[in-house]
Amino acid sequence: MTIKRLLTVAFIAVAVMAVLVLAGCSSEPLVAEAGQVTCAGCHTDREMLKADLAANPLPVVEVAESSGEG
Amino acid sequence: MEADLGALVSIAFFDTTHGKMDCRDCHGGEKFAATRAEAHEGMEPRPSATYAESVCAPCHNEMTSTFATNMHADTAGCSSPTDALVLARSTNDEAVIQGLDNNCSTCHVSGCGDCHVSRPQFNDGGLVQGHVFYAEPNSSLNCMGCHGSRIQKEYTGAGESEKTVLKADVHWSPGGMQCVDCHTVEWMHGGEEYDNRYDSPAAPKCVDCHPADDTFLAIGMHSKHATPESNTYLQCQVCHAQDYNNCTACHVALDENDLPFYETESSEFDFNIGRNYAQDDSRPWDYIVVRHVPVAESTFDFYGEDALGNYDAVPTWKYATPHSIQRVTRQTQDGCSSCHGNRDIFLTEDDLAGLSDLERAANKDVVLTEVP
Ligand code: HEC
Ligand code: HEC
Ligand code: HEC
Ligand code: HEC
Ligand code: HEC
Ligand code: HEC
Ligand code: HEC
Repeated sequence: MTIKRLLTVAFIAVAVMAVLVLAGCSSEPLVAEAGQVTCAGCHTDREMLKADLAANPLPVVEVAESSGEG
Repeated sequence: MEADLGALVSIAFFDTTHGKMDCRDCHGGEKFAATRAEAHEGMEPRPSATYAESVCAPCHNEMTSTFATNMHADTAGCSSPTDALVLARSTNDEAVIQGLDNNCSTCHVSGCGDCHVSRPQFNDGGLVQGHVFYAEPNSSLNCMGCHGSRIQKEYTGAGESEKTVLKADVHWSPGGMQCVDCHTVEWMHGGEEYDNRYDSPAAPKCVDCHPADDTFLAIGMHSKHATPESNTYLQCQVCHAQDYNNCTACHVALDENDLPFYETESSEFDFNIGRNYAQDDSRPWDYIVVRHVPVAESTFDFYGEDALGNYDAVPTWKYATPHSIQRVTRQTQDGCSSCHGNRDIFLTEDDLAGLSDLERAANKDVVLTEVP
């Protein structure tokens, strides 16, 4: 990567992050308010994911059976 | 991969550039929720699937803007006039394109994430490094997640042939070379348009790494058959590829619930040398190895009768670059006579026995009438 490209990427990244922060979309809270869940709270806790999946199994996606190799 | 493990985000992710963003910036969904169902309302599981319009675009413009020209983005490689697995044979384009859209697009990439975040969605996804974005796609988990029936089996030595014992490609073991060592970022991200999947200007040639120097030419077989000056010039794989996968008669259709499926009649590891029907500057050889592709006269019949009426337009034994390289193979192990006089390894009448007149006609430029 050329220096110019690197700087461009860095500049855009900083600008986008700034916009996001100003818009209130700062990074992800790990701990939730009582009675609520957060994305990061669930997705970083394997036991929680397991228990939740056991209680609410993922919907079965219907696919037709294919056979042989492509 | 178990669903819980596939969805598990590592703490390390939050220390990375992308992990500093809110999940919803990329995936949407609800900020305040009591249950998974509520949190996932309006959620987008594949945020990078729209490339130039995706959330990645503002920061990775250079990649998202060229990706549409990459063959991973659509089925152009099957339908372009020169590669022509399909469209050159078509007498009913509409029916065939419908079939391609329904049945063939599922294994194409569904976003940058298929190579940089998760296993391919084609394989049910699942985070590879706890959601950390990585620059180098993993050979086994990303590339071979889709390129399984040919490349993975050939490259890792997982295939089985009735005729010989197969080993991994030397570049994989002991070489340890990863897919991206040859399939570079310039190639995988697109930018240069080309019609045929073999025509990428970024594709390396064997001689880039193994030049025809004195050591190379000291090997008798090389000076006889492996230089442009040779009377008979053979593609390197003619001597160095082990048996590779060949598939027959794929049919595509929709089931009673309108869900697409395919059926291939058979697949088998074998090896065939054919005449080079596609000779040009980048493929100057007189003889090449050829692979049987699973397209049949009736492949698209579900979508329209006789949809591939021009079945004989291009060969069904196609130019191939098997990833099954060994120094010594069954066609060289006992010297020149392993190949000369060994009818089985050439594509001859024997291989066409029982095929339709159209398929015979399709391969007229490939098949040998006499073996050397
Ligand atoms: C910078 C954008 C971005 C951010 C921020 C982000 N993701 Fe992702 N996420 C992606 C992409 C891209 C994929 C890969 C999807 C694909 O393969 O098409 C993905 C995949 C996933 C998957 C796996 C889906 C599967 O089974 O393949 C999960 C689970 C996930 N994200 C959860 C989260 C959570 C939780 C957060 C916040 C902690 C988060 N993501 C933040 C872009 C993002
Ligand atoms: C806010 C700007 C921003 C967004 C949005 C963004 N990226 Fe990035 N990305 C960066 C920056 C900056 C880097 C280089 C530094 C780093 O890895 O931390 C990077 C690096 C990467 C890398 C290389 C990682 C490595 O280890 O070198 C990949 C792959 C990547 N991004 C893919 C994506 C994809 C796919 C998306 C969309 C889902 C996306 N990015 C969205 C800013 C962004
Ligand atoms: C989601 C599935 C998927 C993943 C992941 C994937 N591929 Fe592909 N790849 C395909 C399909 C489908 C085609 C056929 C494109 C065509 O011919 O239209 C293809 C075509 C190709 C081609 C020939 C076309 C071209 O671009 O010149 C190469 C080379 C290739 N893939 C290498 C790789 C490598 C290397 C990786 C890993 C970095 C990879 N692929 C990851 C599905 C995938
Ligand atoms: C078919 C697989 C594949 C897909 C899909 C893909 N990439 Fe890549 N990407 C690669 C390869 C290969 C590299 C080079 C890895 C290496 O050599 O380290 C790479 C490298 C990168 C890098 C590291 C910087 C660089 O220039 O080397 C970034 C950032 C990146 N990709 C972003 C993206 C984005 C954004 C998308 C979607 C538009 C995307 N990639 C889609 C295969 C892919
Ligand atoms: C990007 C460089 C590169 C390319 C391209 C490449 N090779 Fe290699 N090749 C290597 C390296 C490095 C080794 C040594 C691997 C090892 O033994 O650890 C090797 C080993 C070999 C060997 C075994 C040599 C021995 O001493 O046992 C053969 C045969 C071979 N390559 C043939 C080919 C053929 C045929 C092609 C084209 C289809 C090819 N190579 C393309 C780098 C390359
Ligand atoms: C006519 C058959 C034939 C062709 C064509 C051929 N090779 Fe070879 N090659 C051999 C044989 C035989 C050996 C030596 C095997 C042994 O050591 O007994 C060999 C050895 C090698 C080696 C190992 C070199 C060494 O010093 O041990 C490499 C690398 C190689 N070939 C690459 C290539 C490349 C690249 C091409 C295409 C440009 C090619 N070969 C074409 C038959 C062939
Ligand atoms: C893997 C297969 C293969 C191997 C190994 C092989 N050849 Fe050949 N050879 C061919 C093919 C194919 C032709 C072309 C026949 C034709 O066009 O009629 C050929 C043609 C010839 C010819 C006649 C035309 C010419 O090019 O001069 C001679 C002589 C010949 N080979 C000698 C040898 C010798 C000597 C060796 C061992 C050092 C050898 N070949 C190894 C496949 C092979």
